[in-house]
Amino acid sequence: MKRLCLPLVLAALGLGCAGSIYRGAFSLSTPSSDATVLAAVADRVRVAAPAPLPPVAAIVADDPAQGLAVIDLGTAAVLGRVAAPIASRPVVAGDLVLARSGGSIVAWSLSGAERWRFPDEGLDLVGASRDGERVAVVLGGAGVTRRRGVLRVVEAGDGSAVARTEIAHSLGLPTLVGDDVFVPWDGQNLSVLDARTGDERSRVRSRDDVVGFSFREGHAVYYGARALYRLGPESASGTAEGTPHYQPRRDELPGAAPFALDAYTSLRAGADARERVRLVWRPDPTQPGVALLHNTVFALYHRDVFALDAQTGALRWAYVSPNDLAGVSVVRAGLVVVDDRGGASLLSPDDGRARWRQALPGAGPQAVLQLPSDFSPAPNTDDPPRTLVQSLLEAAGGSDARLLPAQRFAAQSLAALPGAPATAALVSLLTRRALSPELRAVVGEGLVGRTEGTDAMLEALDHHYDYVRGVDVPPVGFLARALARAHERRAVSALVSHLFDPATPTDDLAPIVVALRELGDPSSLQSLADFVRMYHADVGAVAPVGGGDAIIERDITEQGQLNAAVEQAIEAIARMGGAPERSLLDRVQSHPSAPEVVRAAAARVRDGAAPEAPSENPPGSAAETPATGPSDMSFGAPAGRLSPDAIDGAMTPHRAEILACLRNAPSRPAQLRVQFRYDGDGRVSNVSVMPAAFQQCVAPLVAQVQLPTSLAVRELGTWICPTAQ
Amino acid sequence: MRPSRTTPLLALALFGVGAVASAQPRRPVVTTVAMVHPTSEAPPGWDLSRADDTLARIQRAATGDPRRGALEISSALLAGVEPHVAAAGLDTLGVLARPESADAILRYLDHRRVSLRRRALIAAARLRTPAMLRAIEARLGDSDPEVRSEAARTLADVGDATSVRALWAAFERDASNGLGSEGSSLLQESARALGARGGEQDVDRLLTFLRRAPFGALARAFEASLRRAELPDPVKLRVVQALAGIATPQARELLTRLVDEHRGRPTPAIDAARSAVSRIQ
Repeated sequence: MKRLCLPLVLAALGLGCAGSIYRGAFSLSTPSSDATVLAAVADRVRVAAPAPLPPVAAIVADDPAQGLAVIDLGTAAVLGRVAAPIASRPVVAGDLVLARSGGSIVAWSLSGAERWRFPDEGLDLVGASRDGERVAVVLGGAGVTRRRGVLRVVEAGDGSAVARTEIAHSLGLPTLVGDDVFVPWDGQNLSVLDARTGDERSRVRSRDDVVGFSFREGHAVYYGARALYRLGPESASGTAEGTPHYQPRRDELPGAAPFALDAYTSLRAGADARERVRLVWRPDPTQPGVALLHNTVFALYHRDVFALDAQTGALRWAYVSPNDLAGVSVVRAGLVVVDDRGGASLLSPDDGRARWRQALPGAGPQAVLQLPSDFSPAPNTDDPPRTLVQSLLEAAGGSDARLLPAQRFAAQSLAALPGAPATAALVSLLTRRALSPELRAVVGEGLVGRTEGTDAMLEALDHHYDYVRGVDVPPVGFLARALARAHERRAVSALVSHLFDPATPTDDLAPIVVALRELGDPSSLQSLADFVRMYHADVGAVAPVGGGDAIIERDITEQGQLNAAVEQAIEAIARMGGAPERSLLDRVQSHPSAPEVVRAAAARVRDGAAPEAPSENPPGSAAETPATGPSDMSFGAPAGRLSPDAIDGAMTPHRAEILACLRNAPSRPAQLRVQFRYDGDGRVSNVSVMPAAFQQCVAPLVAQVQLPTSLAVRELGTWICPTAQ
Repeated sequence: MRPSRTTPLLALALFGVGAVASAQPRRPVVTTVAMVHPTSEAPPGWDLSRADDTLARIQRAATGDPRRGALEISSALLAGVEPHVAAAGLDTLGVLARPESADAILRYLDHRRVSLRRRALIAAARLRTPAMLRAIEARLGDSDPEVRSEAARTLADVGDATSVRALWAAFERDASNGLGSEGSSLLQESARALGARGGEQDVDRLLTFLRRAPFGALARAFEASLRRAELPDPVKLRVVQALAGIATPQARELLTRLVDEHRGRPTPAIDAARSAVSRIQ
């Protein structure tokens, strides 16, 4: 290998002088190889016989300073233990386990005996690849911008050096096949070096994608970072379009799971969150082009696994492990998962059912698996089949706060499924006590708009808060909106009962009233009138029982919510009522203690102005027309509110500005729920944002939005702002 | 309880025009058998938009014919008044204790204001009808702890056998919840109510909660039991013996209080209590 220091060139390239650089290998001026050369490389890979891989797991101890255990997954026997401290995620390379330890890169046999070591040169272990009697090891691992890497090729038996290349570039995961070493570097290149000399034989330079890893699967070498490429003559194009590749079809997965981990940044030994949130897949080299085993991508999120159709992105099943997953690997028989309590399972690729379970004689937060693709333990469990809805319900529930992104994803996936069982599952979620406010909003909004499975909603609505029996308040607001949208008139009596239940949250009252108005059932008119009678002047303080200073029993927000409900009830009476209700509205209009907004509403409908009322149904839909036919009240004028589409059209241009409020947020919600008032001139006010953490930033932005003009006098509006990029 | 309890049409069907007219106090009233219900309209001459005027009329109604007063106040409450007026109206209905107030009281048992629900409970207890007792029992499950304990407190005074079942459910709901040696206010009040209204079996059942439920709450129950004249001596003796058995300072304090209250009126239970007090250090 030739070495030549070129400080001037390095300076010109902004790379700094690393002490030595190779002109041939990794030279920036070397062009991409042509198709003929790459075809020859691919041919060499194709004819090379891969060595059999023992199915093992290297399990790092809870304290990586205590070393690791090597376990045969086929027999569940401990093959060996390493007592040395482990400073980097281990690499299993055939019958060797390598890790950074005590200033060296150390190779142990699977029985735990040290085979050899060499100095780590102050660098992390990036990766290692074994083939035949040699091992290629890459050091670096400080990130793609930290341009210093070392490639060593050593004899597997004693670690004696075959070749060493130190370079002022960042190096990715290597692959050794025969005399060829495949090394990604600088995020853009894949060089094929001669394992014996370090000379560069050929190169792929990507012009529009990232290259971080390479690996061998059967008779093919794959590379990529955000997409998966199969090395072949087409790779010479250097473009994604010109090269057969696979790219995942969904980008809103829990935790924004990356297609592959950043190969230029080494993982820590032990629990490393990056390893717990990612996509897991395995190519099928027997298929032409780039295809994945089971045509499935598995999205991993700590304890959860979501199986997605590789081509369509459609969700197939979800699996929730009882413990965090320390290691995951795809094989032809399914998905092997090892949890951090030492439980190993083989999940069926079809439905996620466990087909094999094994308690391993060792446990730890990190399990590095080396499994041949044909690893197939004999089934030893017969779990009952589960539907996608059932598995999503499990994934969306639970009380582990870390899993919120996965729960949100599961809930959104549930909401996207048709059918009554999905509706029932959403209702079941929504009525759970421990549901976080953010997830409650996601599930609730997912429920609104569903028309199948309203029986489950009605059943939920039958429950009332009862401290003694331990019954919680059902999510009345969401249920009311959903049932109104579904035109479900059977809900009327239950909605009325919740309207008068003091345990009903104040902010659910307006949705109940609006739903009753939308449903237009004449049986609710008397109750709406009673509600207005009871609360139209319910302001001010009251002396407590037993005497003392009078106290105001609700805060400004609650009073506003109550006023809004009364206002909506007045509008509803105007739509549905008859002459007998006129005197009530007269009295409300002139009551000196009634809040201004309530008196104004009564005056408005008495004067024949357009009633203002938010609607779950688009104008003109069946539920818009009261079942009683045209009102005999002269003040029942037609509605003049903005449609949801009109609101969305006005808000969406400001979405990017609004989403800037989510930057650096510890948790990114799937959507923002924005409620506000607007008038006929399109002015927005009284903005309320859920999650409330974004209220301060988002509310002023929304208040600046100019909506289209309308006949509305004072209207409630809702805008759902999706946050996916 | 659910809303829409005004039934003038029903009254019309059953008793003729006079029954409906009876809701209007200035007209002749026919009330031989039927109970007349209030309307949801302001009584004639009442201006509900003027709080001072309404309060004055409530005051006058309280001092006049009780039946008419209850109807007028109930009608005003059902028609809707400001909360401090409603508070005064409910207090007055409690004093009047007329069955004509039932509709208004039931409605206000579901009011969103805690202070009004509590007042409605007190008024409901004065009526003592089965319907009112069931409504009070329902408030044991109220979302507000003050209302829950108020419900238990009123049941201690007026509850029946059905109430005892509801009180047990409330007691057991909070019996294992801790909250120190006293327990929640619902636990304390439901325990006292059980001691006051329960039968012999209920008192024995309360004894099984010694060392399992907060003693402060149980002490209220046993005090109430031991003060009951109709409770047989053997039951009271079992209570005293159980308290002597746990021999805690709190038990001694309770027994001492019992002995002091019954000085000069010896019974087997009091004698046993006196003996236990001398033994417990």
